[in-house]
Parts: sequence; structure tokens; C-alpha cells
Amino acid sequence: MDFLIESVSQVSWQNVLMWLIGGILIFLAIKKDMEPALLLPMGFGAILVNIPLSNVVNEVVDGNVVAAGIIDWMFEIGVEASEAMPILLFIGIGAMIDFGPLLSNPKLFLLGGAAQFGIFLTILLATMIGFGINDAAAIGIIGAADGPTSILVAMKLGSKYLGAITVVAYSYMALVPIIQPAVVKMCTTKKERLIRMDYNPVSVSRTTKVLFPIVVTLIAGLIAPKSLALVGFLMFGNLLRECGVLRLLSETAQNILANLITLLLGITIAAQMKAESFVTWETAIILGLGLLAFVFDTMAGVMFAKVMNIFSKKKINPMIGAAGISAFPMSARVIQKMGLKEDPSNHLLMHAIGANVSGQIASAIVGGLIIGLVLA
Amino acid sequence: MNMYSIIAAVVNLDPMNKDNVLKSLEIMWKGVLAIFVTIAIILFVSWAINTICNKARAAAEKKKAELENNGNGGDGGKTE
Repeated sequence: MDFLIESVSQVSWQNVLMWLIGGILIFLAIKKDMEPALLLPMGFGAILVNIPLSNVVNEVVDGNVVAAGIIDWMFEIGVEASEAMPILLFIGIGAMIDFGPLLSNPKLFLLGGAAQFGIFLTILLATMIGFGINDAAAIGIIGAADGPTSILVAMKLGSKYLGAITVVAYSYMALVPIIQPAVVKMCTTKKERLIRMDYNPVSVSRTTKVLFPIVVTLIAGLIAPKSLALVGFLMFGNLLRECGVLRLLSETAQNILANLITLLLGITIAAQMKAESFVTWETAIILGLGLLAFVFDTMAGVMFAKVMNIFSKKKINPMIGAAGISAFPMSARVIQKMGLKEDPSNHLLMHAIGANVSGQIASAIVGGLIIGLVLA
Repeated sequence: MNMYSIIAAVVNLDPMNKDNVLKSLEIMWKGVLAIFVTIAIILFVSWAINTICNKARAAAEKKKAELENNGNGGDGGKTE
């Protein structure tokens, strides 16, 4: 009868802890509606890969793979070998984004750039704690608030904390509505939060919208060539949307492609959530550093908006700066809600979306820059 | 013993490596500079494209309106 308990006898407390973590992720996805498209597959995957003798992971004997497991295989093919999954997801994200609000008020671009500062500060902190430069850079990029970028940077830099970084990045993205309001309130006065911003968009021609993705690809590619995989595919998706002659492809990218990749990415990332590599003190530290990265990024965006106000006639509500992180469109919605809470007639959504999509471009560029600078 | 070395000891990380810290500072200044340069160029080029496109569109619309007015005026002349 030993065969019946062969697997049970190999269950360790770390396995049980991972089942609990998986359960918590599923709970957050279903009950709290936190990034359910990612947290649910990741949660289920965490349970799946932590069942001893499971055939979803590679069977290794004496360091050699004797039987391939489907989740490890998907990870090797879809993420490790080519980073195809996170990069392809960017086509869908690009097709979803309307850069109109940003193009009608281009100075919002600066907020997207400023809100990346927390990434660099977190890298510094991580190296001071003792992480190697590659791991520190991969941890810092959690502040980009951009799951695919975090995965890509961690992969390219060969970080052994890929699983923890991904879980932390997506978890905090889901927690943006809790983290950001607290930080924004801490950094702004009531008077600043009441600043009104009228929305008088300058008309943006179709030619501009079509040229924009091409121009961004050229500029980002020439300055930060390592960001081209992300920026290029993001802009390719956007070109599909704006060209006006590929409606079906654009809709496919926005819905079917993005959903399919998201579905597979979540469960594939679970390959990195095996107890032996995930249940470590380093994971707890990464959890803390990831939170700091989000907080620093939000603060940097808000503070930069305040600095812009010194030189600008038309005042910017500093809360808009917080939307410069790339958690799209959640961060913009959070700022809109905060604005309405302070003054029910002050609609900040379009400005916040402008800063938010700028953050999307900036985080992809910063991801590429960091890869280039670390590997240089 | 500072806070960082206590954390490092607890989690079994290597002690703080001065070279890594210096490298992270280098990444910080280079990264911040590069992102702002990139963003500034994108900002300027987008603004320029939008301005040129809007001016061209306004000029085309003005020309079209003038042609229509001239056309109407000409027809009016003939009928009179």
C-alpha cells in the first residue's frame, strides 16, 4: 500500500506553506477582485507545482531531466528561451492604449519619467542590503508596476528570484488602490489636492497618432536599444490600433491575444514558485523592497509635479504625478477617485490617463536601460 | 552593526559589497539622465508633429473653404 502514500510522505512544511500562499492568491483574485486574471492562475499554479512527484514539473534524477513537465516546459519555451510571453503581451497592451490624452498635453510625459525614480532608489537599497547587482536591478524594476517588464528584466539579468519578483510585482499592482492614496495624501496638502485642471484637449490628428508609435520606437531604440523588445512591441500594438485599417487585428490583440497570453503567463510563472526556491527570507525582503519601490515611485511622481508647478502658469494637481507609474489604467482611476473625493466637480481622469500611459512607455524604456547598464 | 548588515546576516545574503553599491549609483545617474533625455526628445518630437499636422490640416481646410467660396461665387456670377 506504500504507493498510495508515496507522495503524501514527501510533503514538507514548505509545500504546505506554498499551498496556503496559492490559496491566498486565489482568495484575493476571487473575493477582492485583485488582478484576478493573473493572481488566480498563479495561485493555482503555486499549488500545482508544489505537490510532490507532480508531473507538471520536470522529473530530475541526478541533475538530469528524465521527464519534462508541462509547466516547466512552458516556462522554458515561453519565458526562459525567448521571453516571448511577456513581450507578446505588450502587443495587446499597446493595442489597448489611446495616447490621445498624452499627445494633447505632452508635458505629462515628464511625469511618466519622474515616477521611475523609485526603481533606481530601490536598486541602491537592495545592493546595500547585500543583493548582487543583477538581483538588485531585477528587484528594483518591481517599481515599474509593470508585470511583463519585471519578468523580462529578471530573466535577462538571470535573477534567481524571478518567481518572487513576479508575484510581488503583480500583487502590488493589485494593491495600487490601497498603497497610492496613502502615499499621495502623505506628500500633498489639501489645497494641492484641490487644484483644478480643466481639460481642453488640443486636437490630435490621425497622422500624429500613426506617426507617434514609429517615432517613439526610433527614439527609444536609438538611445536605449535594449528596450526595443518591450517598447517596439508596445508601439507595434498601438500602430495596429491607430492605423485604422486593421480593426480586426487590433481587436484580436486587445482581447484574444492578451487574454491567451495572460492565461498562460500566470500558470507558467508558477514554475518559479516551487517551495525550495520560493520559501526563503529573501522572498520576504523582496516583498518589503517591492513595496518601497512603489512608494518611492509614487512620491517621485508627486514631487516632480510640484516642481513643475513652480515653473508653470497652469498648475498641475500633484496627485497626477502618482499616475506616472505604469499600473494602467488602475493608477489613473485611483487618482480620479481621489480628486472626486476632494472636490466632486474636479475630474482628473484624462490628465491622469495621460501621465499613466506616459509611465507605460517610460517603464518599458527604463527596463531596457537597466538591462543595458547592468550588463555593460 | 547597522540595520542593513543585520538584515543581511538574518537572510544569509552576502555582506554589503561596495562595488555593487557604487555600480547601483552609476546605474541611478545614468538611468535617470537617459530616461529624461529620451522622454524630452519624445515630448519635443510629438509636440512638433502634432503642431505641424494641425497647421497643415488648418491650411488645407482654409484652402478648401476658399475654393468652395470661389466656386460658389463663380457659379453665382454665371447665373446672374
